[in-house]
Amino acid sequence: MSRGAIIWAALLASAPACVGTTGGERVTFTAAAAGPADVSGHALSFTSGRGFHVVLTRATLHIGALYLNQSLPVSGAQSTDCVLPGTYVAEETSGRDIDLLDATPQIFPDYGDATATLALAGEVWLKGPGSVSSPSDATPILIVEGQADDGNASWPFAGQITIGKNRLRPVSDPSQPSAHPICKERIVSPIALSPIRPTAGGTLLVRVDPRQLFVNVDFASLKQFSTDPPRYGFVDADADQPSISLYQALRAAGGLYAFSWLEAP
Amino acid sequence: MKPPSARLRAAARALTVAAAALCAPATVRAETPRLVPPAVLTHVDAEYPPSLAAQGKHLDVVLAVTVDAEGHVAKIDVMTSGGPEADLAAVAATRQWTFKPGLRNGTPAAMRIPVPFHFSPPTRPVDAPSDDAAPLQGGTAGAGGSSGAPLPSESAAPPVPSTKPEEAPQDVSVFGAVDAPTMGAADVKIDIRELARVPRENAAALLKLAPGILLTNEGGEGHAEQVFLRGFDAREGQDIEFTLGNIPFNEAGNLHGNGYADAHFIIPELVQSLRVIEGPFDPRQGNFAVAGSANYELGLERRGFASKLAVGSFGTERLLLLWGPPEERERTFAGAEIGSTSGYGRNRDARHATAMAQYEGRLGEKGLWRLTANAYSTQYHSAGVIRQDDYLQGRVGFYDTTDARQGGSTARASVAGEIISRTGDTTYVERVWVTVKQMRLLENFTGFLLDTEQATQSPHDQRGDLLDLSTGGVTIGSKGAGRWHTSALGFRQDIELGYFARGDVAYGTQDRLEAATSVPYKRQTDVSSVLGDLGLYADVGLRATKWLSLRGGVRADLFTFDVHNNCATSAVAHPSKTNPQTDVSCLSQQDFGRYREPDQRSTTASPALMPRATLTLGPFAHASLAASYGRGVRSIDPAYVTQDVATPFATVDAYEGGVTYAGMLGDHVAINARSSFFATHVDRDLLFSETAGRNVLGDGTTRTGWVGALRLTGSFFDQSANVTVVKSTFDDTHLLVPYVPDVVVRSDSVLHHDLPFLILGSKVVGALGVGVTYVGRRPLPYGERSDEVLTVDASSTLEWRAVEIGVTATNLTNRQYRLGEYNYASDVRSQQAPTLVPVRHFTAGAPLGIFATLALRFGGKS
Repeated sequence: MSRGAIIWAALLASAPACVGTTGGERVTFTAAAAGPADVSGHALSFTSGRGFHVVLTRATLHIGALYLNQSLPVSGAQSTDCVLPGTYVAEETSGRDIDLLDATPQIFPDYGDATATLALAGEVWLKGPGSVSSPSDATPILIVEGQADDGNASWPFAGQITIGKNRLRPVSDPSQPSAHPICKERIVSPIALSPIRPTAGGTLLVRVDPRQLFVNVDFASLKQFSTDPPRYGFVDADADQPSISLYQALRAAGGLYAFSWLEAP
Repeated sequence: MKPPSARLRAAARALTVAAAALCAPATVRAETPRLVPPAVLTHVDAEYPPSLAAQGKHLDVVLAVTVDAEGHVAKIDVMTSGGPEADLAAVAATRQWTFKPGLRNGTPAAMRIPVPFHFSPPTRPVDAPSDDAAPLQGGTAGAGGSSGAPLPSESAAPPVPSTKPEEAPQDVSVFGAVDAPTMGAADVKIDIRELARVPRENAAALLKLAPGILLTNEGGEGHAEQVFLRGFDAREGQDIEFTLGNIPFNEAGNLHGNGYADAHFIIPELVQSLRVIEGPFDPRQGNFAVAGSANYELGLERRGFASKLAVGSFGTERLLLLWGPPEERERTFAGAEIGSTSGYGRNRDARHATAMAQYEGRLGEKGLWRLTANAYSTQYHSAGVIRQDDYLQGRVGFYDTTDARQGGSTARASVAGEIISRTGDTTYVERVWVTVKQMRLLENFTGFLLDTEQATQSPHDQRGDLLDLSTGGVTIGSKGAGRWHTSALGFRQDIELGYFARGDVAYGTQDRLEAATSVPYKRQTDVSSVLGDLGLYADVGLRATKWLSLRGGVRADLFTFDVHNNCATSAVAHPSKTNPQTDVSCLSQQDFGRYREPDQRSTTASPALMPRATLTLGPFAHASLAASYGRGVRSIDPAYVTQDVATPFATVDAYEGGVTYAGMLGDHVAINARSSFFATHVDRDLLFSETAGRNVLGDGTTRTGWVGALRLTGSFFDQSANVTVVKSTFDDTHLLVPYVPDVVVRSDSVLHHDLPFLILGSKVVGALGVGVTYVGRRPLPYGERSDEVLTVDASSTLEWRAVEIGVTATNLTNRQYRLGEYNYASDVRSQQAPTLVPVRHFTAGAPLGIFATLALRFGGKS
């Protein structure tokens, strides 16, 4: 075999060696959250599901992290883990406070990491800087202020929600002492979404509609904290109907949170 | 060059001496045992005397050939005459031979060796192609033991009397072994010799002399190297059959990896040669020979006592003692070393000690026996992998660690015995061995990711993913073979029948340790196994013409498993509500609290049949073409065994076609080159799992590629270089297999010569060795590729009388590089929220290291 033939054979063989891919792609993206597109940045007026006219003057949500997962658990599946069983596609872990009365996307401090894999479910982690499994977390997750009226009476209100020891649930089944871990209280999951495939330089936007927080709140049942001036408020515990309703709405996987992907310009 | 048609069917039996010297495992018996006889580099076939063709006689000639210190034939005497015509034919041929000069105390010296020729009468007209003019050397003699086992040479030629006792060349006779049959272009036999001057971390690094091999190590100094070979991620040997003196040291049943092979117990200075077969083409290859096999042969060329002290960067210290009794052969030696290092960066400290001893004795006139023993122990820490984003954002340094508890320890001891004998035309070999080993390994690839809170557990945060793996056991084995040869069709034909028997008692546990306290909180695995491997093989060497030979056969193995799982159940769907086993790892309850024993036994067995063959055409003008096919298997991890379910082997089908060349470049430079194309298919490949901390069974894969290698050897230099390109893809998706390099280039260069001055009347020998490794951008999961790896290591030594001083530099350019890179999910708590998406991780390669060595030699006869 001539030397030239050997060289050509080598080149022929090496040609395909350095090409090809393992499939997929890893990308970084920008994460942002905002109130609904129709808010003006000032007070938000709306009528709740129970017929109260609400003027919301402050609504601040602390998002600890955002995740996208490639699989949406089938209906009826009882996951005992705080994280979804599928592969996580995207994450934004830097966390920030979001003004829900501002429609402008509010950027998270750090870039997020993702793989270019189709995501079917989202997660919003409502936590402070500590461990998601630690009972102690005094980070205010939700702060709301405003006034509600039903035509006959009005209820100036304020409220703050934390998710810590105040949300621990008692163990009812001794064989399952961790059936209700605190992390489950903090993770809103799974949030169904239109399929998202992250792309490099894109933006993951989560819009949070504060109107959904008050859909089932009976403002007439709010606890009164002062009479002059009259002030009402939500209790940071499962104490009364309005507080429970607000907390449940905060953790509802449907309606409150809307994920979308904005391609890079 | 003679056309084949002009060649006579002349002779070919020859060269017991030279053949044995040529072949790596050769054993030397000399009047002065510190001699290394000349080795044949190139030969020219002798022609059957045309004038005698009509008589049809077999003729024997024995020549006494003097090879000078340059490797040239200086003088030829006829010791045993076969008649004037045969004598002339033999002399004429031998005058054209070239040799690697013999060594006296490590220095080239003139020697005289006996060279026997046997002329077989032509079976066809004298102008027909002939074969038997080839000397008896490894590739044509057809000798061989299991996996390259050396069998004794055919005769022990007597010493040749010197004509001038004072000035005459040293007479040597050789008793020893001819090499195993060659298995085509994938069969790489490496005589280390001067290439030992190229810096290498350990004996495993010698593998890089074979084409296409990349070594990485994320586990620390005492952890076996991860081997990539021709597109295989063989992990720590799971896909390569490793043997030392033909005794296997893959650890069956090792929980970290079934077939784990740690070569750190081998003292690199005692490795004389290495044979790598890059594929399952030899019927002697057994379990784990999926990507191929590697056999180390030990010996100590320089007799006497030697000590070597090395100190240098990172607090590295190493003391080596070697002893080769001058009155014994080079296969008789003892060596011990002890070393320690603080390691580069954090958490890479290590310490080790190893001892090896071997004695080789004669067994009658044509046999030998060997007894080998070694012991090894190490303890070390490991930096493991770190996240790329943590490094880029300054949270950790390049050489840092994210879990300083990683590391491990290993201890092993083994004894092996070997008997080789010859009766008539049959050679026998028998080997037995016992190995005891234990290893502990602590690794954390994922940080705080896997300990999710389960409903049946007490409330807890992520407690940490540190794996605490402990595994060990005892291996008892025996292997033997008998090879018979005869002459047919005018050529030598041979057949070898052999067996292999191995039993392993293995155990392993794997716990997860709590980060804060290092207390085990979860037992994941607790398995003890009794594993058996009984194999039979037949290997046939057939030669039909001078240029056509076929070698191959079949091997059959029966693998048996008796696996006792001491942790058979870790979860139930419906736990007892009144007496739940909260936090218990290995349950003694079934659903609803019904009692069960926590353990369970499974047994199974399966046979595997593996045909293998190599067809060789040539040599034509020093070049031979070869095509090989072979099937190999890797037995599965005992953890996968299910009662009475046939053992699912990983099976590889390998194809190889290539050309090899062995000749001279000018008068003084031997050239060996090979070029081959290969394709392999594995039905169940091993793929890295960061959660398991090891490779796990995956899908089928296919590899295609090319390998080229070149070695140039001269009187003052030795140059070895190889290039491998390969494409490895999954069968179902046709996507690349991650982590395996598709381009690997390696070069080893050595210059050595007497310096032009004397010190106190004695010469000074200088040597320079350089090793260069280039690894292309490896494919990573999610469509990414790693960085390139380019490292340069160099050493320089000066030898004067009994003293040798040297300086070694590793990573001479001080290039900051990533030895291993991975894409997967981990959470090392470097961010506010858990990190669950796959990101880049890497293990840092070593920075520039400078080491000084001082060696003293004494006690040998000069």
